[in-house]
Amino acid sequence: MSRKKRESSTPMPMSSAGLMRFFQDEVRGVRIRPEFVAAWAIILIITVILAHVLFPI
Amino acid sequence: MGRFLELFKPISRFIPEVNKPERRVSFNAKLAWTGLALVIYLVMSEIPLYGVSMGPESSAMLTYRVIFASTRGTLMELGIGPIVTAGLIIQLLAGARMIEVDFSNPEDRALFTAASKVFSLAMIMLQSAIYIISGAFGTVTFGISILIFLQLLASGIIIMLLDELLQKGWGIGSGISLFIVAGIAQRIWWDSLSFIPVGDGKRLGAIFAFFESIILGEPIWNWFHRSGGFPDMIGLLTTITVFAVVIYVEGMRVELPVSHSTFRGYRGKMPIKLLYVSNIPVIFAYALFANIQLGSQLIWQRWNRDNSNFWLGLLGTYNRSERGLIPTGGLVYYVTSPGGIEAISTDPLRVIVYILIVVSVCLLFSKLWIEVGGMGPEKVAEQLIQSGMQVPGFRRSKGPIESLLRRYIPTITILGGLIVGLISSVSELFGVFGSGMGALLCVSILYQFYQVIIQEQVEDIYPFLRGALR
Repeated sequence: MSRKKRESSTPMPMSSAGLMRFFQDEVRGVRIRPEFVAAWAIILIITVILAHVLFPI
Repeated sequence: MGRFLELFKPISRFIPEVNKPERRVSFNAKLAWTGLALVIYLVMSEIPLYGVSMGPESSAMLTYRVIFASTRGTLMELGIGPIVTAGLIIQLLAGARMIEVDFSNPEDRALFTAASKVFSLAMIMLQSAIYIISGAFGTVTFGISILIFLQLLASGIIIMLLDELLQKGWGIGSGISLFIVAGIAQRIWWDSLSFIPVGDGKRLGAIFAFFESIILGEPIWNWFHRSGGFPDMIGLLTTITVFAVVIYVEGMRVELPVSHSTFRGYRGKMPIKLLYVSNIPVIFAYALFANIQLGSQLIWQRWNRDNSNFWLGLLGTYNRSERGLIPTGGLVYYVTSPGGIEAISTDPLRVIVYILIVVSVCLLFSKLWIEVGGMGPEKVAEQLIQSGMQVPGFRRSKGPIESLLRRYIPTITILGGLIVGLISSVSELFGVFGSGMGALLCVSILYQFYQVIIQEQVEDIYPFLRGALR
C-alpha cells in the first residue's frame, strides 16, 4: 500500500541510506554499460595485485 | 530554477553515468548484479593499497569505519565516505535553502543528481589528498603518493558507479546500504566467532571467550564481561536485544484508511511508520561525527601536537598511545563513543553529553530530512491526491488531508528521531558488536532489503500486479 504514494507524477526521491537521488531523469553524461563498471573494477583489482607481486616495496 | 544548480549544467556532460536497463531486469538477474557488486566490494576491501605501510589504529575510529563501510589500508580506505559526505553537504545546503531545487521539474532533478555526483567526485579527491597529506599512510615519496591517490580515486569512482548501477534498476536496493550492511555483518560475525587469540589470553570471539572463562573457572562477572574493549557476552546479548527492539519498532505504525476515488471497491491502509525517517538521521549524524573526528585529527597532527593551543583544543585534544590516537578532550571527546560500561563510573558527564548530542543531532536531522526529502504533511497530501486516493470521511482536497497528516507526521518524526538516537547511543555503552549505530543500521537496512525482495518476487510471479504495486 505504501507504494501507492509513488504513483504520483513527481517521482518520490529514492532515499538510499539518506541520499537523495533521482536516477529516473538522466542528463546527457558519458554513458557506460554496467558490464564496463564491473570490468573496470576487476581490472583495477588485478592491476593492484600485479603491482604488489611485480614491484614489491 | 536553481541558480546554483545551473553551474552544473556544463559539467554534467562529462560525468560518467551507468545506462538504464532498457527493459525490466528479472529478479534473478538483479540478484546476480547485486551479488557481483557485493563481491567486488568485498574483494576491494581485502586488497591492500600499493605503496603504503600502516601503523596501529585507534579503536575510536570504529564509528568512522562502520558508517563509511571502509577498511583500513585497502582500496576501500575511503569506502563510501565521500559519497555519503557529499550527500550530507548537498542536503544540508538544500535544507538551508542555499540550493533551490524544484523537485517537480525533471530538468532540476537531473541537475541535482549531477551536482551530487560532482560533489562526490570532489570529495573523493579531497579525502584522498587529506589522507595522504596528514600522513595516514606513513611518510611516502611524491611518486608513491600520486600512485596512492590514483588507486583511491579509481576505487572511489568504481564504488560510485556500482551504487548507481544497483539503484538504476540493475540490482536490488542501493550500493551504499548494501556495503554498510556487509561491513557490519562481517564485524558482528567476527566479534562473536573469531578464533584469533588476543591480549587477555582468550580468543577474540565473545562466544569462545565465554566458554574459555568458564573452563578457567573465573568468577561469573568475568564470564560476561571482558576488560580491554574486547567483545564479550554483554555485547553479544545487547546486539541480540538491539536487533529484537529494532525489528519490533520497525513494525509500529499508524494506519490511515484510504480508498480510491475511481475504483470504488478498493480499500486500503496507508501506514505511517513510527520510524518514518528510519535510518537516515542516524547515518547523517554519525557521518557528521566521523568527519569532525577526521578533521580534528588532521588539525591536531599539524598544529596542536602538544595540546597547548586553547582554541584548537576546543575542537579536540588527543593522547598518543600504542593503540593510536585517543581523544581526551574538546568536542571530539564528546562525539566519540565513550566505550564500555566502565565509562558510566569513570566519566558519567561524558556518557550523558554523548547521549544528549547523539539524540539531539538525530532529532535535528529527522526534522531536516522530512523537509528536504519531501516527506512533510503537505507533500504527502499532494501525492495522495495526485494518485487518486482519498481518506474516507474527508474532502478530496489538499487542506483537510494535510491537516489530518499534520496530526501524525511531526510527532512521529520527533519520536522516531528520539528512538533511533537513544538506541544507537545507549547500546554503545554495552559494547554492542559493530557499534550501536551499526546494529541499528544493519537491522533497518536488511528489513528494507527484505521488503524490496518480496515485492520483486511478487512482480516476477504475477506480472499484471506490476502496475498496481508501483
